[in-house]
Amino acid sequence: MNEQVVRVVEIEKLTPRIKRFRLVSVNGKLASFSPGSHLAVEIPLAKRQYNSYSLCSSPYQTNFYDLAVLLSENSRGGSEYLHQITTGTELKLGLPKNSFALNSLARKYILIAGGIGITPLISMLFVITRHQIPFELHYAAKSPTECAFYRFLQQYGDRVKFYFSERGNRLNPKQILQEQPLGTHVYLCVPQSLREDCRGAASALGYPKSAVHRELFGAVKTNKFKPFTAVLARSEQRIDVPQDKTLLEALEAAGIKANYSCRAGGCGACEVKVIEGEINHLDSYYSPAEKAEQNRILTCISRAKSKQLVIDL
Amino acid sequence: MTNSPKAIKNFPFPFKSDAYMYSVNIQPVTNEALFDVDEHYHGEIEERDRILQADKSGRYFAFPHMKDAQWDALEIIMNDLADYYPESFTLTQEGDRWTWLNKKLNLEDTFTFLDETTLPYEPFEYISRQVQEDIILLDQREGDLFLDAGILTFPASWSLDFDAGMRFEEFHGPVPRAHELGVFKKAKAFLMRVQIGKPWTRLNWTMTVNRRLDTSLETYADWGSDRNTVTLDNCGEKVHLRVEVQRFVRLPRSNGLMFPIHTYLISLEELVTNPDWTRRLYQVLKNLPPDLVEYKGLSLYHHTVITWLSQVVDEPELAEFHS
Amino acid sequence: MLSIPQVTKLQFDLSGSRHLICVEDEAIEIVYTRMAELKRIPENLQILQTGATVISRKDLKVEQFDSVRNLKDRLREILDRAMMGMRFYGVGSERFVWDLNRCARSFGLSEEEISLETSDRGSKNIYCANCQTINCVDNTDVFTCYSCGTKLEVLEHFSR
Repeated sequence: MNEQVVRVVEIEKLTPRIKRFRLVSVNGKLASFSPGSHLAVEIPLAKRQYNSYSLCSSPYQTNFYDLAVLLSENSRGGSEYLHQITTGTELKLGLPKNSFALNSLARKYILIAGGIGITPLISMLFVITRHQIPFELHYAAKSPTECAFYRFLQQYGDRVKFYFSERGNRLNPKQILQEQPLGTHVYLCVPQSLREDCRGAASALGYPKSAVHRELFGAVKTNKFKPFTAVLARSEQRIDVPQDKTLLEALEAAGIKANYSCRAGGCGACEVKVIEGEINHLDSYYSPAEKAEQNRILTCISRAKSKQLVIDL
Repeated sequence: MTNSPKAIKNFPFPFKSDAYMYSVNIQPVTNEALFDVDEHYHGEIEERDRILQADKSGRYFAFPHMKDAQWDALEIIMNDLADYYPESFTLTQEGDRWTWLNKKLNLEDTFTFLDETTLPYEPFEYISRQVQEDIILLDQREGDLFLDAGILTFPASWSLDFDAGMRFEEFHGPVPRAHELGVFKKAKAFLMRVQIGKPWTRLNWTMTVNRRLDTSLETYADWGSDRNTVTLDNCGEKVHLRVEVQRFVRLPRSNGLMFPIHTYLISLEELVTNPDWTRRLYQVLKNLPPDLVEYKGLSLYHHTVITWLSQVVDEPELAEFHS
Repeated sequence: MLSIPQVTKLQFDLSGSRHLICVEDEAIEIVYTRMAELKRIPENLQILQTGATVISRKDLKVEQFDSVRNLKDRLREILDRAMMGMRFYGVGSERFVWDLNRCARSFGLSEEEISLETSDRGSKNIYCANCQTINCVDNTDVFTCYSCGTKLEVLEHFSR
């Protein structure tokens, strides 16, 4: 995955728990990306791992990437590692991928962010404003000091609205979504409960499903999951998947070459056939009918209901 | 215009087995140019220019929401040409000020990246006039791919104007069998996941009478009747195998897809200089199901070509087969 | 063939909060039939129709227009001010329905928000590949392009 090598040239503390890293290429040019993209960062700890972060610089900026990283309490150590590095550190990155792309025909965009969920929406703002399409950004955070990009967002005037929970301001999805013009597209990067509220409000107002988009990574907490065993049908190898790891991570740790792209259950790239066992589908890729078939799994996110899952690898 | 021995040697012969059937048959492109600049460059660029002058509205279009995709295409094509043909093409980038040098066309332009007022044409038209490939740009949205920009001067029996704005399965509508086999559904799902920097390629083929690249629906009146003129005597010279090398490239900033199509023509006379190709083509044409013969427009001369090839193939029992 | 638009039965999408129907002449009977199949008539319903109502109904207000052009002017006016939640329905000849569908799409309505039904009567637009003229003809297999005189065989491939 050493597709791009970058050097950290600037670190800015955006909030007490969020740092912005500016990265330039060490070995040539940075790959361009579309608004809403994320990429994998290799975390060179004893147990190598990859964390996905949204790009929050302008897609028209060719010289650097910006990433904003929240110091996460129940992380696997990735955000802790990034929060202690200094400028000059080299990092290995994957190529940008997008499972949260802007609909190019929208007549208006409504962007809704909660906390660190602001990052993919920042890259969208550069594109939306270049094309002069109307937009609103609604951004919920704890307080102005806990609100990343607070100063940066002032330039957009009253098109950006802040909701600070400390001051008792609450974001009201129905109020935001009602009376929006035809061709409005909504982009949600918010915690799960607020996401459900937004989707519920959109649906009640008659928004079609295709007009409501959501970014998924970070959505699934792994601590409530049960461990299971994956049996590879071709090699008969048995791989234990602990509760805090995904099937994909367990396959990677066992040195098995597995396809993946979004690592968030949204793109379908990591699909594997399931021969035996009951699947706990956690993705947003399959239709309910496809999920009911119980014959395919997205390894990056879904798990087993049964103790064991026989997969076609 | 004919092919040199070198061009014949490099011809992308498409058949890997004796029975041809639709499949996604897609391969990764690695360490290879996406755009091919060959000995027909000047002739084909002039031909493209002539066709665009005669009928630009039918052969070129880009919807307004494809602006970022246009710049993506320009950037990828310029970098590809400059990387693989440095003796002919140079791209100098100083911040947003880019200078493009095309020595083959004796052309040099300095422009501001992302500012289309600084180019003589809009970006996609500007660069696509300098390559031999037909190119379509697909917008990815609503879980689908839409044909929302394109330049098409060398098509195999289709019309860009007619197909503008169509969904992926719609513009593939007339292809027989493949829908039933689910080929396009799978192909679309695959294409929607093509990643930045990881392009793919596939071959497609048909046959054309006379060395004619522009077999568009718009000019059907000019070439349709040529298919009545094939005889055993002129078959080797007149009938050409037509192969499209198609590429699938993710457009990074717009999240669209670029689909360049390079069309190669080889006359049967040229093709039979390679005995393996002769044998293979003979078998494929013999095994081709009737609906595909019809779809590929071969009905009028399919049998003549098979007879002609049977006389060239050095397998004794074949003469008997067609006696 | 998949290239032919799958215009089937008009489906009222009750997840919408407003419903706008555009209907050509007598095709309004189709609308009445489809409505009769529902448990209740959708709220916030608006109907634009060309020509005169064949069977008028007291419970439905229908705005009538003397031409498709005037109906489309009104449609644009409505769509320009319409809010998310609207559903659009087109009922009439293939030509009418796809013309209005294009208009609705240009205001950002997605396919999910649109339902169409064609009446078997009426005409089609046939594209002449030779001169790019769009001919309006009745259902037929072969005809002569009125612009360039080329004899055309009609292929079943649908264009937007």
